Parts: sequence; structure tokens; C-alpha cells
Amino acid sequence: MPSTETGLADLPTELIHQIISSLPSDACKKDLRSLCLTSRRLRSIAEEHLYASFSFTPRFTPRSTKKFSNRLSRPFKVDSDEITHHLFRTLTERPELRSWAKSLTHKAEDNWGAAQDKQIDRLILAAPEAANIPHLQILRYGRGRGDRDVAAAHLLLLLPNLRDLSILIDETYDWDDGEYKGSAIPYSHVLEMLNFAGVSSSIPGFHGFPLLTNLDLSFRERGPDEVVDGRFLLIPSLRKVRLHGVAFKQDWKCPPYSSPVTDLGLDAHKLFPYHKEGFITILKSFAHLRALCWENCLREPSFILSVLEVQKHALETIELWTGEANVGQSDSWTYTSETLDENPVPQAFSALYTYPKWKSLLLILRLQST
Amino acid sequence: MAATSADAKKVTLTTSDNADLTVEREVAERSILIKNLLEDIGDNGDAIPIPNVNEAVMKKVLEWCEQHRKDPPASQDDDADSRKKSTDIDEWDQKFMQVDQEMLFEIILAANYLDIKALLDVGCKTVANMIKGKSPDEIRKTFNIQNDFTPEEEDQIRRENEWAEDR
Repeated sequence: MPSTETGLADLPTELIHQIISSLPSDACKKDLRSLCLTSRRLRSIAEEHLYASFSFTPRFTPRSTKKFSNRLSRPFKVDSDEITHHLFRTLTERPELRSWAKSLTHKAEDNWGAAQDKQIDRLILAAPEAANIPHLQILRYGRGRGDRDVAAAHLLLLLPNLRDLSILIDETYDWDDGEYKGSAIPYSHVLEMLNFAGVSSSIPGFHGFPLLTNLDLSFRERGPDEVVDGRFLLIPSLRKVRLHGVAFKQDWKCPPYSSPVTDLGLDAHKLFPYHKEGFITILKSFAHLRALCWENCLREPSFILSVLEVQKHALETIELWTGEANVGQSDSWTYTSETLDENPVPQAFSALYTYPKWKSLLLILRLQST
Repeated sequence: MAATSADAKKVTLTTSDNADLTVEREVAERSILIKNLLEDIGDNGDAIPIPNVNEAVMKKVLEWCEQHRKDPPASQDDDADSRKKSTDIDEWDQKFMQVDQEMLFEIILAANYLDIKALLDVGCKTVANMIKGKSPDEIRKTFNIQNDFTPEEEDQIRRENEWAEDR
């Protein structure tokens, strides 16, 4: 065979990128790791994909019998923290990889983390980012205190080009008696970092998430409060936000009609606001809220509408999880502005007709769990 | 010479090895490059030179275009998404792509040059499926790639990418 024949390695870089993009996502990371080990050229191309997205979910590995005498007597350990640390090590050693990261999903149980790793601590404190960022002092103390999200917060400091960020913290129950055994320490560092990005993009050395578009924060319904005061809603690139299990601070810091977010998901809010004014303050934060998904809202239509009123000028699609059965047998109803003749919205929501941009309403019946 | 109305629907393509291939215009226009050329210069009956593609590859590409002549044009926006979603290839295309590797890569290069997005996608998915699930060694063997790493470098790369293990 003549060596002139066209092979994979002879394709232009952009076509190899396209081939790699075609890899099925189920085993994608494994294939990307393999490609990185084939040759220098393929490595330089595959790395861009390998480091484009991170998804950390708890991985249970058997504990050695030696360490079995654990408080929760679980035969497994959760090692997302270790994986975060491995990634942190690589990103510290090869800073050129950081800019590829576009999406990060960090899923954990709330007793996750807090493994004290002196080596990683040294890496963190030696990172050039550490020198300039005032907040890092807090992270440093947090680490000593065993705070849960310090590693994740550190990781975020290294990723200036994130578009999508999801922090999803599950409840933890005891293996045997089903009791809640969560940590009392909130995941506050990640939130603080996002808040910094919202109001002080000029902190030297801090990237401020200039490209962050989608943010999903989901915390435990029980356990400590992850408090938000609205500052992060001011991140200029932010468009879509989902908040689950966060506590809204009475002292709300996002001024009326100033957030660029157009798409909001709300669920299981703690503390403020139980009263109407609280919700109004929050919904008022957005310049043009086009889509709202309000899970577990479980309130009277008149209450809901008086809150939605502040976004009357912008709302197009509305999804409400309601405790009230409105009509019919099914457990969800869709109404659109185009099919009103055959399918009018329930009388209680007829005020939506006066919303200039309104297109659809989805009502989902959610029975309160006992 | 004036083309008759029946001929007007045909175009002639001259390949890199100087072969003239005459096909229906609708078939040739699966290639956005050719479509734009015909729109710009007008169909004056002259042969269109395709200097980057040889006869064997062009015939193969035209065979695909013939099969897919009635496909709806690909939309511009959702390409990144739909490409990522699946490595499913329809049956005819799978058979079509059962060619030796050199031809496979020539088809990919030609589809890219001629701007035939759907064919390029099928080609890329076919190669992706050949990569899927293979060890570095198996990938090198499959594609005849020279390992240019030292053992130390290989260890270093393994360590760097340790975080991505089993996921």
C-alpha cells in the first residue's frame, strides 16, 4: 500500500473536530481519553472536547474493610471530591486547558466532600488566582472548617468561559434508618462567587463569569439555608436561571427591572418570601421575564396573578404547578393564545388575556405529598 | 450552442482527473458549492471544473446525491445539536459507507469541499463509530496512526485525564 493514501491523521483539523463532535455522548469521555493517548496531533484536538464539559456525580466505590467503622456505616464512599481534585490538579498544571470549559454540572450528596487533602490545599493556595482574589481568604478558612463546596468553588475560579453551570445537591439519608443525616454547613462559597460576579466584575484576577448563560442551583429542601440576595442575577450574560431549595434574603440586592434573565424556574423556596411582596420583589428583578416555571407554587390564582402582574409586559410562557384541580380528569392542562376559542383558560386566569405577549399557560396538578 | 429544454436540467462536471460526468442539475445541486456556482454564473451549458475531487470519488458522491435528491434542505441553526444527538445512520447510508478507509476519508473531504452537509455528517458519524469504545492502541491500529509519545508522556497524559475515568 502506498503511504500517500488519505487517513484520519491527514484530515484538516476542523474535520477531525467534527468527527469527534459526532461521538455518541454516552461513552464520550472514555473515547476522548483514548484519543488523547493516540498521537500528539489527535491529543491536541481531542483535549478541547475532553475539557469542554465536566459532569461530576457521586460515584460509589467500596470502602476498604479497614475504614469501615464510619459514622454512617456505609459500605461505600462518595468520591466526587477526589475527582474534582484530580481535575483541579490538571488545570493548575496546564492552565491553557481552562478556557475550553463551557459547561459544568456538579452533583453531590450533601455529605459529599470535605476530604482534607493537604496536597490539593497547597495547589489551591499556590495558584496565581489565589493571590488577587479577596474572596479566597474565605475559601481558605472554609477549607479548614470542612466546608462542603470549597473544592467546587475553587474549580469555578479556574473556568472563565463557562456557559452552563449546574450545582445539584441531593439530600442524604442514613443508610439504615432513613433519617436525615445532612451536613449543617451550607454550600455558600459557590453562591458567594456568583454574587461577586454579579456586582463586581472588576475584581482583579477574577473572571466574573463573563459568558455564563444558564444557571441551575438546586439545594436540599431540608438542611441548612443557601441564601441568595439576588446579586448574581445581574451577571450580564445570564439568561436562564433555575432555583430550587434556595432561601431568598429579605434584604434583596437586585434592583427592580435590572436583571437580564429572561427565563426563570422557581421551586421549593425557603424563608422569605412567604408573603406576596416577597415574590413581587423577586419577579420585579427582571427587565423582561419571558418564561416562568413556578413549581410547587400551590397558591390561589389571585395570589399568583398579582405576583405575575409585575412581568405583564414580558411574560410569554407560564408554567404553574398548582395544588388545585381545575377541570377535567387529567393532571395537566395546556392553554395557548392561539386555541382560546376551543380551549379557553380557566376563569381564574383570564387576566392573562390582557398580557400583550402571552402565548401559553401550562397548569400541572401537584398533590401535596403527605 | 443552445441547450434544449430537456438538456437544460443537466450539468456536466469535470473532475480533477479530467473526466466529464453529466448529471441532473437537481442531483448536482445537493452540493451547495455547485448550486451557488450555477446561480452565480448561470447555466450556460459549460462544464463545471471540480479540481479537488477525482472521478471515482465524484461518482460515489453523486450516487449519494442521487439517493438523497429529494431530501429537505438542512436548516442552518440546529446543526450542532442534531449532529451531537445520535450516531444513528440510516440503512442505505450505512451500506453506502461500507468502503475502504481511503475512500471514506476522500468522501469526507469531498463532502466538505462541495459543501454537502448531510453527507459530511454521515461520513463523520461513520468514523466516530469506528473510534467508539476502542482503546488508544486499537484506534492507532484501525487508522494506522504512529504513536509519537514517549512512555513518560503517556503516563503524564493518563494522570492528567484521571478525573475523566469511567465517565
